[in-house]
Amino acid sequence: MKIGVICEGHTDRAVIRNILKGLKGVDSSQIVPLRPDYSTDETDLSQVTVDNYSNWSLVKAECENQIKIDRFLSIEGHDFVIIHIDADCSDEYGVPKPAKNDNYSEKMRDAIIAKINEWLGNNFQDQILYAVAIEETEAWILTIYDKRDSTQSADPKAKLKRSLSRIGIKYDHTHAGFYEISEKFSKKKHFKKEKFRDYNKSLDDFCQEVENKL
Amino acid sequence: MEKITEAQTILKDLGLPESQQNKVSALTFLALCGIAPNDNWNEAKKQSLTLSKGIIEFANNIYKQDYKQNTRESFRKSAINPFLNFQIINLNPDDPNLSPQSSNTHYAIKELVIDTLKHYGTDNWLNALEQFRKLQFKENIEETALVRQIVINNYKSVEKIDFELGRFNVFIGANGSGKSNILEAIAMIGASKGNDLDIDGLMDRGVRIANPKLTLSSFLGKQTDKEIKIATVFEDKGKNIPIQSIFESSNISDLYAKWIDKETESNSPKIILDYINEVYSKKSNLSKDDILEEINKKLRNKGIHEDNKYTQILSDFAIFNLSTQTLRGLQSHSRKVPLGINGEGLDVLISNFNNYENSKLLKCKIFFNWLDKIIFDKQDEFKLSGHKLGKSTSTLYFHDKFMQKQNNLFSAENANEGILHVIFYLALFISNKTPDLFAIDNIETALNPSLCRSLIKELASLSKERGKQTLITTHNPAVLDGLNLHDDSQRLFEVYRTDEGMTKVRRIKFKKGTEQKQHKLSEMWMEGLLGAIPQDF
Repeated sequence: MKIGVICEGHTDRAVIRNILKGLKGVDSSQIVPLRPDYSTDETDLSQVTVDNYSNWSLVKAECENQIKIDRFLSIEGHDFVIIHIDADCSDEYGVPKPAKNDNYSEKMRDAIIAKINEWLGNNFQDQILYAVAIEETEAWILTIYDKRDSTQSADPKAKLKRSLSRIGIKYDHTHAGFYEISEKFSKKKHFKKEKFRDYNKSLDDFCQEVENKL
Repeated sequence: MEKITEAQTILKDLGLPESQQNKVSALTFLALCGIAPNDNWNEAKKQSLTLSKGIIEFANNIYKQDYKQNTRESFRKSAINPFLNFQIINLNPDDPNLSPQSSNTHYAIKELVIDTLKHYGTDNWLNALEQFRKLQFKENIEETALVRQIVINNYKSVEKIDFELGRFNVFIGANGSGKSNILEAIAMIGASKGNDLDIDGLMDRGVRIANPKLTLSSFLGKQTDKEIKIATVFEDKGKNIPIQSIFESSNISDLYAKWIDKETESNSPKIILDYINEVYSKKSNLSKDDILEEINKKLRNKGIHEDNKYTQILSDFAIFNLSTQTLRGLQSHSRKVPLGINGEGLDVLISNFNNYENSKLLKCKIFFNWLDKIIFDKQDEFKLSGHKLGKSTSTLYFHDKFMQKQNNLFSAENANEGILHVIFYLALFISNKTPDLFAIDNIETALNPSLCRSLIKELASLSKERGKQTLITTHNPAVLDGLNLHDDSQRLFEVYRTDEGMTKVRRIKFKKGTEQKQHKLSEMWMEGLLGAIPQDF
């Protein structure tokens, strides 16, 4: 089985890689990065600003275009595509933020999934796993280091940096860096013992989807 | 006379050289086909004729010639002997036991020629000639068995893999994924079945020799198994035939230690019994001592190993990894014949090609628009007249059609590297003397992407036609565009390593129902959709 991953950045895929391993024993070789990728060459990349590279607009473009998803799913053993997106910029892609009450996370996730399906023209729904991080993937990683609800954290990026710095962990904003700081997700026993899923509802929802569909 | 001219044209079309397109050859051909000046070629018939009273008299009576009996030698030299060599006539078909000196020695045209002549002057003549060239030499139509399944345990980065091959197999994977290890494992079982399981035997087949400790799989946190197991299953006329080896090193710390095939050892009693039966069935009146002597002789010559069609196919297996310097004849390392694993022996092999093989080889012209002719300088005369420095041992030359006629010949030493690689691959697939099963590592070396695509398509078609089975590795996406994955005999595999570093193989195959979709494999690979790329940077 191979699982395609469309995500905002390489760092997000590193975290998803560990989660899939921990929950379902999925080997890294089974994960195929569909986006971000190398479809843009270095000449064109030199003209792209950081603002419009590796963010939700690329995820949206991939969902609307669908060629890559269709091609990926045309091969035997290629049965699922994970679409990852952070909720923090949802306003920008036309998903207003719900009121921050008890159901904030579920409502936010449902609204974003509806938007992704709209981008996809409601195609491939049985083969898509929605990895909606509220508000950012860093909030999922925070569940390893900070045993408090991270769903409503205003700035998970900064908070993760502070938390890790406090315990002397430095990390790069790269695939390898995020793979390392989220490595605890790769073991089932840690999931059980440390109850990561209790501290971020959107992480729990993604995990449930993985458990149910894969 | 018109019929004589037609006969000369037909002899040329049948692939006979210029020296066999003269009047004597034409008259001999007409006589053996029983064709008179007003007959049609589709009336050709088989009849046995002696040289003097049959062929020469036919020429004199029917075609009003005046050949004397003392011209027999000329008929023999110009016609009979070359016709026999080119297998267009049979010698003594009515009495195969006749002595060579017998005055009754006779000849008859082959049925295949008669069948081909039926199409002369029709739209089907070119197809008929193609069929003739294929069937002309028996070895051109040899059927071979295919390796269907390969199981490798504990060889280098391969802990365990089990996969099913097609006829034409392409393997892609990131650098260091273990593609070559898979090929080497097949070479190792080949060396054992060829009774050649030593360092030279392995290296000749393209195996990189490592300390036995490194040849056995070694993974963090896993105990090392001391045996390597390699199993193959052949498919031959609907039957499955398993052939396997279990290797153990005599000393795992010694680079020069011998590998022992425990499978062969356990089969030894059976193999010796087979030898006894073989000796006894041939000469049942031998004394005990004579039988022992005969068996000893066999053991000295062949050793103790299974010797059959399947072990022979495995034994011939080699991993070809071409070097341009070798193709140019500037260096030579491999002793393997007819083609060495780095490109040795190309000129000698193709200079001995039969007509059919030659016609196939000339297909390379479609890949190189400048190529006019391929030439072999067997006497090395061109070297002496200054066409090359003389450091190259290759006798291969090319004529460039764009250059001035008096100055258009250049040697393999000066040729572009692409044509040397392409001719090598074509020769490897076309020849009936090259292995039936072989591997090519990095087929794209020195080739333009577009050429890669066309070459792969051509090689896939040749593999079917010539009964070859191959495993090819590549890092060039264009190679994939030459494959037709809807043809089950052409298969694409991804080789990858797991989180624990173990090499695995999986077949890349389109789902049913996607036949009508336009999925270009080279783009899919470059987009990362097929895997087989490094991921973490």
